[in-house]
Order: sequence, then structure tokens, then C-alpha cells
Amino acid sequence: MIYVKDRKIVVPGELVATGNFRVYSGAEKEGKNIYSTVVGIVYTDPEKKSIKIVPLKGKYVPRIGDSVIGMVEELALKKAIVDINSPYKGILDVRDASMNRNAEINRLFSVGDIVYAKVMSVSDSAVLYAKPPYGKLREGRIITIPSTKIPRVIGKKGSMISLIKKYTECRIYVGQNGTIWIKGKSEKEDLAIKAIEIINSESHLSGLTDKIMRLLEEKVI
Amino acid sequence: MELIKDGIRIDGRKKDELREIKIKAGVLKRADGSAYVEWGMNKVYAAVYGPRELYPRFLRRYDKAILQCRYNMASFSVEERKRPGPDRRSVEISKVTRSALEPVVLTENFPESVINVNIEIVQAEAGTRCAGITAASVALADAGIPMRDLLPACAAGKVGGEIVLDLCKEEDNFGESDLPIAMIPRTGGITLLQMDGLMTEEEIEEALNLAKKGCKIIYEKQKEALKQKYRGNNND
Amino acid sequence: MTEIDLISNIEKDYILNLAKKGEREDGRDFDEHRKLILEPDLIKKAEGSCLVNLGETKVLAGIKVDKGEPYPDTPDQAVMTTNAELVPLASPFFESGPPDEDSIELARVVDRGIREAPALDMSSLVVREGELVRVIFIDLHILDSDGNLFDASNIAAVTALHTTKIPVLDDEGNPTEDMIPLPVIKTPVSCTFAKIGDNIVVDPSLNEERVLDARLTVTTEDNGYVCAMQKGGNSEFTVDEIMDCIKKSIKIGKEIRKTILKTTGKQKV
Repeated sequence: MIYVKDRKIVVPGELVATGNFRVYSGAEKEGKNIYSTVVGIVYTDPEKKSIKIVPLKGKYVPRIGDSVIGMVEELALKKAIVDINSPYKGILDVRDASMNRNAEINRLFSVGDIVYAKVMSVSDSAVLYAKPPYGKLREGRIITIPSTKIPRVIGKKGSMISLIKKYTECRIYVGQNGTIWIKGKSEKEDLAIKAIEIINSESHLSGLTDKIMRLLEEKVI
Repeated sequence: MELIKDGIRIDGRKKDELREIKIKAGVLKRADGSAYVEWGMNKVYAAVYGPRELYPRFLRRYDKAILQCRYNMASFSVEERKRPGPDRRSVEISKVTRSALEPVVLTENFPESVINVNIEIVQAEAGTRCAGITAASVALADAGIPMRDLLPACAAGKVGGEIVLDLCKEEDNFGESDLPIAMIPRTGGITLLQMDGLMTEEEIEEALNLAKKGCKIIYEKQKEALKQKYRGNNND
Repeated sequence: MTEIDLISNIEKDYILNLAKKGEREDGRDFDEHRKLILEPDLIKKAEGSCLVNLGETKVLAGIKVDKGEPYPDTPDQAVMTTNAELVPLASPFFESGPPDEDSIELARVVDRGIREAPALDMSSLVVREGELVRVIFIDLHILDSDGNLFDASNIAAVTALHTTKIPVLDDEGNPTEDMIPLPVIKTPVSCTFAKIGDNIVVDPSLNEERVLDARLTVTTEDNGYVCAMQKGGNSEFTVDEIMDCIKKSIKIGKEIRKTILKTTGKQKV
């Protein structure tokens, strides 16, 4: 028995359903009762008997295989420590950052540089890989939103991000950790950023795709 | 003075009536999560930062995040100006606040890290610790930190020989006993419990049940504050 | 989150390049303040108070007035002290503990503007010379640190002083039931500038503060006199730049002074 309408916003402790449902995220089971653990949007699939609650906010927790975009905050011996909007730091060993065997970390990066990297493993920090096609990002703009909103920025099968790329003619890299890098003509960069800002603030409302389409077509900021 | 007469209290309330309470979620920009509570004359801000990296390292726990709570009163929040900085009372309240919130925060999701809870009382009028916990729990939810439930807090006490809900300043100063609690709405479990004064067993049980009733009402306001933040043109 | 307040090189370059084109990240002119909202007198327990929203920066000032002994070297003057609490609630980088150099600088700069204008006629607040004077506490409680705490705090403190009411004291120096407004004779307003490359912008945002080379706060009073100045940051100002900032402070100060007096119902007739 599901007690909440699909796409509704729930808060921690709210009883969402009772019964044998598969719970994907944002909820916990107590006996047969399923309670929300976050402020988030409920997605229910009565056929597949599954419930997913997507939090509206939350810090990024690194997962193996994720592409992330972070900022070098410290250079230590043979490695860079990268802030990836997470309680867990990214660690980039110099050997994973350059094809050159004699590379020195402080020649590759400065504090404040933005890095596009892949998460190779996770312990009490995220071990990163930044050889091509990953690496330091130069120029362009960055915007950081909650990592929980990134799936909306990407869209079903990448439809939303493809749309934004097409209309703004910008190169765009999306970090699973919530940071997005954009590079193109200055006004087009602004347009892409505006689109992402709207997705961030209105992801819980309907009609989002239409609104983004209108924005991109009219190029009105 | 007569604190209660014919079931009417010194501020005009009935025995089981709460003071006026307003709660707003997401009021501060820098904080990861925040809330503002007006409760009677109390004005309270709560802000949450985290989960984030914990220093010094030796405080880290391999299996969960640790919760650090700070309750603080502004110098101008009370009648006689208070010197800035933590006094003994604030330190104790910080500690019992942590003990109240810990059971509802799902800290196992973020090992090695810290969740900072900050409560600032900018105007105080009896019941600030309950207002603080109430605000803190909304701020934690607003930050997207997973929780078993929200955590309403409320006090009951003995005033003029009668058990009443949510003591105001005069009742706190001149009444016989004060009993603040925080309650997990889902289970009825009590995570904050303090008491001072003199009460019999029966009076304590009556006060506990009355305070739990108050918590249920406050819980609805907490829920509403969080949902209100996201009220758009078609959702709810 | 980084350990210290760092901005990325990409974001830094963006702000620098915008400044070269005469633009700012939030679309403001170089001489434009963010939106200013004043909420006077909201803390009833305090003798005076004001919450300021300057953009998203939020500062709450509270005024408490007591009585006590004057300082031995100024027996005919009231006592006034200003304190700023940069509480952890307001920023991921504020730590609890005794006031650090930022908190002390902020308090002293706000205090200087108020004391030197002078906002208060300190000799009129004496009960018995050498023995009993009014003691005025200005407490700044930072709630949300999003750039330019200096101006937000100054405006909050000065507006709070305008809302302050103190009890009339009887001959023994004990408070009676009657209240009178604190006599505020001047309204000092501070104006803070950030130097970014060769460009000078007013009311720096948080990101502008992270990239600035130097900052200058100029406090002016009702007649256009400068009553306090403070330079910060690790770069330099030319004399021309300083004079330009002073001119702008006088102009902007006038506007903000009008807003403060209008909001507290004290505009001159």
C-alpha cells in the first residue's frame, strides 16, 4: 500500500508505504513500513513494486567509476589533494596525472586549478585518475549544484545535457559530484549556466523540459 | 503572584496550550541547511554544516560521522547583557542537544566525517533549548542529511500545583518544576530528558504525556516548514 | 569543502576578466550596492536592535544600555564598547573561540566610525560625573557571511542606535518607568571598496572578496566629513584611488543615511 502520490515531496520520518517494496534510496524499512529518511521527491513504481526517494540536497559520496570535477586545494609530496564537494577528499597521485614518468606535481598543478578526473577507488578518500581524456581544465566557467540534481541536468539517456550542448555550442563536462564545466562563447556560456541554474532550482516542479527549451530557443536570459 | 487560576495561566493560555510558534526552513545562504524558529518571544537560528572533513583526525570514527553541537546566546538576547562566549549553561545545553539529535541522524552513512550543528539564540524567553533542538532538526533535514525522523522538542512543568505545557518565563522562574523533552514522532521515543524542581511519579508521567502531545503539534509545523520551502506551482 | 576559503583559478579569472570589461559577476555597476533591507527594533529584549540584509549578508546588531563607572581618564563621558561575534553559524570557515583578528578588526572599525563621527553625545549620557555614566554595548552578531561584513555591520549598528530607548534615571541613578530615545546626533555610514586588478568596486560580494588585492573602508558622517578609514588586503592603493573612494563614500553614504533615517522615522524635517 502506497500512501504518497508519485513525485510528491516527503520529509524524514514520513510513512511512504507498507508492504514488500524494493527500496532504492532515501528511505528505510522498519518491519513492513517504509519511511523516508530525507527531504526528497518520491518516485513509486507500483508494477515493479519499487520506491525511490531522491533527496533535494545532500553532499556527494564518491563512487568508483564516477567522473568528477574538483579544485586542487593542496599539493603534497607526489600528489594533489582535490576538493570534490564531499566530506571525502580526492587524492591524485602524480603517476595517475601524467604520461611523463618524471612529472612533478607542482609543475602539473597549482592550488586553485580545476581538474576533471575519474574515481578509481574509495576508502577514506577518493583515489583519482586524471590522464587523458581527463586532466586540468583551463578557462571557461564552472558551476556547482547539489550532486543529487546532476541526473536531471543529464536527463534521460543524456537528453537534457545534449539539448544544452546543441543550443549553446559549448563544451560541457558534467561531474557526478555536482560541479559542471562549460566552455564556449561568452554569452553562450551564460546561457548554459542559466539553464543549469533553472534545473537546480526547479527540478521538483513539472514542465521543466519545456521551460529549458523555451530558454534555449529564445536565448533570453 | 497567582500563576494559574481557574485553568488560565498568567499569559492567558490554557494548561495544554503552546505559545505561538513559527518555523521557516532554508533561511541562511552559507549554511548547508538552516532554520529559523519564533516560539513565544524566543527567536532562534539553527545552521548545519556537513557532513564534512573532521579535524583533528583523532576525533574521527571509522564507522560513522560524529555530531558536534553548539548552543550559543547572543549578548543582547537576555535582559541583563550576557558576556559573549560559552558559559557553563551553554556548554551543558550543547551536550544534551547532541545527545538528543544523535539517535535520529543516520550518521553511519558518512564515516570519518563531522556534522556541525550551530544554534544561535538571538532573543530568549524560557524554552530556548527546546526551540533550538526543534530548529536544529529542521536545519539537518534542510541540509539533506538522512534522518530517521524529525525531532520536535517541548517542555511541560508544574506551575501553581498544576501540570502545564510549554512554560513561559514567569512560570519557569516562579513555578515548581520544569521538564523539557525531545521526542521521535515515529516511535514516541524520548531523546532529550531533563528535569528540575519537585514532582511526584504521577506528576512526571502526566508531564511527559503532556509534553509528548506538544511535540506532536510541533512536528506538524516542522514538516510544514520543510515542504513550504519547495511549494511551487503544482507540487502539493 | 576546502580548509580555507579558496576560490578556483577559473572563477578568479572570470571575475578579473569581467572587471576589465567594466562588469561584475552579479550584474551590478562598480558603484552599486547590493539590495539593502533593514529590520529595526526586532529584538525587544534589547534596548535597540537592527537586522541588516545586504545582498545575502545578514548581520544582527543589538544595543544594551547599562550604567556603571566611567573610565578614570574620561570622567565626563559615557562608556561605549563594540564587539563582533563571527559565529560558526554564519560561515563554514568561522570557528568558535575567542575573537580572532578579523572579528576584532571588524568591531574596532565599526566602533571607530560611531565614536569619531560622533554618533552619540557622550557627555550628555553622564548621570554623576566621575561616578555614574551610561554604559552602551554594541553587539554585532553575524548570521550569514556573504561579503562586506564591514558595511552590513556599520549599518546595523547605527540603525540599532537610532531605535534605542533608555530609561530615565532618577536622582539616585535608578531607572524609572519613563523611556527616552538614545540621543543620536550623527549617522556615520561606512562604504567598503575592493580593488580588483586596476578596478575598484563598491560593496564586494563574497567571490570579489576572495579575489581582491586590497580593500578600503571609508566612514563618513552627515556633513561629509570622513571620520574613519581602514585599508586591508595585501596590495596597495594610489592616492588618486583613495580620493576617488572618499568622494564615492560621501555620495553613497548620503543615500544610505537617508534610508536609515527614513526607516527609523527620524528623517530631518
